[in-house]
This record gives sequence, structure tokens and C-alpha cells, in this order.
Amino acid sequence: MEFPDDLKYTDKHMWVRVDGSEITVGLTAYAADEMGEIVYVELPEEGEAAVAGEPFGSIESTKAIEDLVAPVGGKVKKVNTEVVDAPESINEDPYGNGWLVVVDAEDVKQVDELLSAADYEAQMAK
Amino acid sequence: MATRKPTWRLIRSGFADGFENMAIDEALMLSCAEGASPPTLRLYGWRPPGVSLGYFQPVDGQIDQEECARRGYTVVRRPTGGRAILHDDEVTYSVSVRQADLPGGAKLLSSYREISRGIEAALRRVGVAASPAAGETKSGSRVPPAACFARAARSDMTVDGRKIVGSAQARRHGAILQHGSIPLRVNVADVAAVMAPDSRAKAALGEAAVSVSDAAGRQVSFEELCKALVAGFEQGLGVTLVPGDLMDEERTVAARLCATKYGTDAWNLERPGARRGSHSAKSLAISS
Repeated sequence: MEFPDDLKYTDKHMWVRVDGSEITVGLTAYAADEMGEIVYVELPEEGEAAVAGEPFGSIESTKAIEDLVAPVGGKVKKVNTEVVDAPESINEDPYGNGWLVVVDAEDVKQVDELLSAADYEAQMAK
Repeated sequence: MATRKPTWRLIRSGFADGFENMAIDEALMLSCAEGASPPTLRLYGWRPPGVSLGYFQPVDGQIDQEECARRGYTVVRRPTGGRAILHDDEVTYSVSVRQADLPGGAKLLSSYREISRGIEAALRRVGVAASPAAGETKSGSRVPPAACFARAARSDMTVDGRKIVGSAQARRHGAILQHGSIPLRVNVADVAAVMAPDSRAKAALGEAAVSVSDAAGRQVSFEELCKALVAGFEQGLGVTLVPGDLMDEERTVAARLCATKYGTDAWNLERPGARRGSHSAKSLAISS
């Protein structure tokens, strides 16, 4: 199972990729595997506010529905509408085509407090 | 020195319609999330019979609404995931608990497994040897069937590969709501009639699912299965169940959810994505 080193993670199973003040957010391979076949995903609209630690959407698999919890605060800049039509991309390519939203972060330094790949992997192994 | 077992609340709700059933389950999850309620096992039934849909499941092409109306069946959208279930001659269980209060609660599969221990022990008490499925049963299609019991996923409770409990979970605000349908008797023709026309899915139902009475080889009653679930959960989860009832605040929230959400066509007949602004966090807010 992959935990790319260039990403940061949260204990709510979000990964983030930083590009300036733009943060791309997705669901980790670990969470996608736990959930099983992802069948639907509910994402916010462009322009909506994301609040760090608060739900910004939901994701449903054949087993459960879970909150997607924002890793950072800011404004939702882009939404991956393709993943809404093809939620299986989250299972198949969670760090690529399965990306969920891009957030214009209000404070990029919030990312520094997130988990490294090694820390996330260690937590999930517990 | 012996460790005291955790105490859970047991609520025997009796029979109510689908709208009230879902409203109470969500109220319990919200109350647990707030730390206001103890871990709770609730047992209940459906009167009249009704169909419940998964949170994101579309209605069109999945459910025959006209047939449901003809039969006087309610149609309600659950707060949990999964596929459609016809609730009729069954016991429904619901577990509401903070993730931190359930061993393995922080992870989806381990929380399912933990709750499965209670169900497995209960079914054993009525003479049914069930176990969690190791993997998905083959269905020949990646498109989920309309009916929950048409396919068993990993961790679903099965007997000889046939699904005997249809469970679904929601994980919100650090709490878990898991509820499930345990059919005492199944009339496959009734189930097929309320699902939208799809001969493949209907054909699969008879082979893919089994009722408790069929699996036990005798008629098991609602009361007997409820008693078995109480003893099974105590044994399987290592908890003490103390009979109780809804608190006033839970009752108030349930009534509000029934009136504004579960009793409305806007919630039941439309998928959440179709409604802008009705975001999950806002729609689950416990304070008005």
C-alpha cells in the first residue's frame, strides 16, 4: 500500500499536496481500502469555505458512509467533478485521478502540523 | 482485581414506521457524538413494512415507488450507506457509540468486526452458525445491485455464503451508528416486487440471502431473537446491557428529525448531492 513521501496526511485519512497556497486534498489508499468499493462521494461547491477539522463532504462505500474532514482551512477553489461521476477512481488511483478538491489555504503553515507519510503509516499499523 | 465491564444502554423500542425509526437512530448517533448519551443497543421493528435506501442511493431505477405505495410501504432514506432493504418480518438492531468507546472503533473494518461479535453470538443462541464474509460474493457486475441482500461484501454476516444480516454504518463527528436488518422470515417475491424491474437482481435475491428461520430450520420469533441479541451483545462485546429508554433531549431531536428530514419527500426521494446547501455537517447539527 502506498503512502507517497511528498504528501502530508491526517488521522482522518486525508492526504494533501502543496503547491504554493493551493492544497490538493484526497482520500488515502488506506482509507479507500478499508471502505471497500466507493460508490458515491459528496463534495462541496467551489467558493465554499473549508474549516480545518470540520466535515466538508461525505463518502460512501458498500460498507459505510463517512465524513470527509478538511485537513486545512480556506476556500474551495476546484472540485473534481469527474470523481463524482466515477467514484471508483478513488479506489483505483487515490493520489492521482481520485483527488477530491483544491483548497486555497488561508494559512499554508497549517500543513506543517500534519502527519508525514511515515507517521501516518505507523498510526494505521496500530 | 476484576475489571468492571462497560455498561451500555439497551432500548427495546417496539414497532414504528421507517421515518421514526431512522430519526431515532440518527438522534442517538448525534447524542453520542456530543458525549450526552451512553453507548446504546436499540432493537426495533417496522410497522408498516418499509423500504430503506442507502444515503446516496438513487430512487429512480432502484425502487418501484408505485408498488410501495400500493402496498402501503414507507420509503425512507437512511443516514447510513449501503443499498435498499425491505424491512418486514425482522429484528432491526442499531448500535450508537463514540468511536473511542468501542474497541477497534477508530477503524471501519475493526468496528464492524467488533459489532459482529455480538451478532454472531446472538445467532448462535438461536442455532445459526454465521460468520463474517471473507470477501465479496461474485455478482458479475461492478454496479451495485439495488438490493442490499443481493450481494455480500467483506465482513457481512453470512451463512454458507448467503447474507443473513444487512448492516450499514455511518461515521460522523467521532461517533458510529451501525444498524442492521436481521430477517426472521423473507418473502423473496415481496422484496423483488419493491425493487425496480431488473430480472438479474431479482433472480439473485433468492440465492444470495437467507432468513434466520430458514438458517435455523425452525420458526424463530421476534421476541426470541431480541433476547438472543441482548445476551449475544453482552457476551460478544463483553458489556453489560442496562434496559433504558430515550432521554427527553433525544426524543426531542428525533421528533424534529422526523418532521424536518425523515418524514419529507425532499430527503427521502432525492439524493443528497441534488440539494445544494444541505451539507452533511449542517444537516446533522444537533442544536437548532
